[in-house]
Amino acid sequence: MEQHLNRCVEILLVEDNPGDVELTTLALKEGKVSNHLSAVEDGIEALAFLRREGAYRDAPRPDLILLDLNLPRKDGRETLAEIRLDSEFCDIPVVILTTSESQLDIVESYKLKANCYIKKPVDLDHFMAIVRSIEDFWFTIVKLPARRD
Amino acid sequence: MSYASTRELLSTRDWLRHSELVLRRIDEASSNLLKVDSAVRGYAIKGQTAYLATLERDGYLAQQAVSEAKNLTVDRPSLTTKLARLESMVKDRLSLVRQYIQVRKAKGLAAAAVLHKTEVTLKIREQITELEDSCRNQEQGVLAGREQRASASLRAAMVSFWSSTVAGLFLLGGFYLIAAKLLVAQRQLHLAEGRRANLAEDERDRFFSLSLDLLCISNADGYFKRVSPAFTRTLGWSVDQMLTRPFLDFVHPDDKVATKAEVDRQVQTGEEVLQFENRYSHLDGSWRTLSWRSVPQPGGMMYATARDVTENKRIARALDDKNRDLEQFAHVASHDLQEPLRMVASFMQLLEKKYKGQLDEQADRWIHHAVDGATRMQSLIQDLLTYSRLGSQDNECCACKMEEVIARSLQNLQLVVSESLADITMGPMPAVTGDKIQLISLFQNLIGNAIKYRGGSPPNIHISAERDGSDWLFSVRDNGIGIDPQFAERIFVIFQRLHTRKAYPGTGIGLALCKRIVERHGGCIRMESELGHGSIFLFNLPASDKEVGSNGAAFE
Repeated sequence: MEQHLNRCVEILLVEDNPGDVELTTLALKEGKVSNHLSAVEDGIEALAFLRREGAYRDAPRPDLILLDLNLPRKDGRETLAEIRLDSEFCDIPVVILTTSESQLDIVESYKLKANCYIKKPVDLDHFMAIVRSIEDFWFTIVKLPARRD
Repeated sequence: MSYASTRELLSTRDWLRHSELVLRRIDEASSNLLKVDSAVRGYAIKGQTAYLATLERDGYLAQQAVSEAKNLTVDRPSLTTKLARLESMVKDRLSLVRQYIQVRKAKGLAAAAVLHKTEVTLKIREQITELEDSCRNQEQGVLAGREQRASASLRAAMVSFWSSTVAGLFLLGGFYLIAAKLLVAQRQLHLAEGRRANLAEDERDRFFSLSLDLLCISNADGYFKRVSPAFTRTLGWSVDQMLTRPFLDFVHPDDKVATKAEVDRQVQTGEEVLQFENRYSHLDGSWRTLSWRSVPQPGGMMYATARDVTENKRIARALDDKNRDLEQFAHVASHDLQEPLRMVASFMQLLEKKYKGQLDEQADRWIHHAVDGATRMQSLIQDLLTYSRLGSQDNECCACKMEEVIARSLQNLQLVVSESLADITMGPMPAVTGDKIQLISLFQNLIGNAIKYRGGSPPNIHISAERDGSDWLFSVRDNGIGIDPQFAERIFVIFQRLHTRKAYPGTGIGLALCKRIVERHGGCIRMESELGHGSIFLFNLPASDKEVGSNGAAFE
């Protein structure tokens, strides 16, 4: 547990809405764990980030991925499927963070082995609280595999 | 004398039988010729050689029947002559038929059709019918004469009895009398029955032709034995076309297996088919959906009626599609609208949080209005989503104990109930068939409203139920501010409000939801009120026991 608290955790946010990127950044800034957030706009960018392709040559390996479902070019479902197929990243926890409450999306996400599914709350305070509890859960409660960069 | 009349009496009885035999043979010939005709048509259309065998057999039977009739009438030369003529015409007809078959074989349907309609063919058919009728009439005349004679010989027998002075003949006379009486009574009964049967048959035939539904009798061999004219009206095929092909030929390829299975099941179990649907081909190449009901008979025969439900099905499907589209639209629209709105509201709230007091008072007020507007719109969209989900999500219906339902809705309202010091009572509660979650929401909205629109004194709410046929009629009565009766309908319309948001906050979704829930349970909801004197909401829900009980009988 200490290993997470002792260093800055890396979070990758895959989100095309700049408003949500900013809100998430704000919420995490006030969190207890020292963290670094990288944001990309769609699935193609996310996979390039993970594979350190092109402009992402020096990208850090994320400890946690926050993934929206409805994204341009390559959506969250496809991205999740590819992450799970890649032996390099298949162990990175993925949290689906989306506005969709559709049962179809929920079931499909878990089938694709999402670690959890969260609906973005409408209310600002609620949203902030949820982002912080994601951070709290994944970086102070849960035990993650040791980093291997 | 007596001996002679007795003999006369006995032979009369034989003759009656004899006449009936002649008539029966003529009928047989006639029906076999009809079968020949339909086999010819069958062959003409499908070209299957199986028809030729039937044709030859029925043709032979027709000829046989005519010649037997002729042999039976040797005692009446005029009828014999007529039947001899009939015999030769039947022969001619059959040879024409064979000729037609040859042409159809060699040159195809079109060439054969010409031959089929030639004057000779038509004339021969016509003459055969005429001759048959004439023979029939003549023999019926003979039959009537014989009946008269039968009565006469009865009288003769009576006379012989009374005039007999020989005591030894007493017994014999008694025997004659009884025999004669029996014979006549039997004959009269037979005639009356025949007339009645004819009349009933006639009536049945009329209904058969008149019926809008498709009526038919089918045989174990998989052919229709008889179909009503409604078949032709609905499916375009002529009656003959329907009779000369196995009925499965007309069934949609995808429905054949199910149809066959249903027919087999019916034949095996002897059970009625109460509702079975399949698609039948129409002459124009389209498919019509028929809904069947049929009763099996021993030996594989079936009486069946069908109704063309194609149009109903199409309309129902179109309506379903429309509704689904509409629900989907509401869902998608509200979901996608929510996304940008979340941004407006969130950043306005952020602005309010971070900069309140740093700008001037007016800026604070403006920010407040913007946040308020966005939040309100969010609730509207949320409500719209809830409303549209009522249509798209069908939870399973089960027997719901209403006491539990109401208790659950009161639990959800706990805070307002205790804050308002509401006094809520209820009568004995039954069980209804419904979606428990929706029913909880229904009561929660109604009780919530009763508390929300309370007058000066603490709310007093009473819930009761009484039996109304197969339903329960529920009422939720309060002592609140009441509603002007002129708005009795408007209150159930989505987002319609009777008060300012300042006086009573809310979007105006509650009663629209209630209405939709009740209607989805097959009931209706209404309101009775007088301004300032409280209101009563009345609605019915289906009882979980369907028996019509007296009030209170089904309370638990």
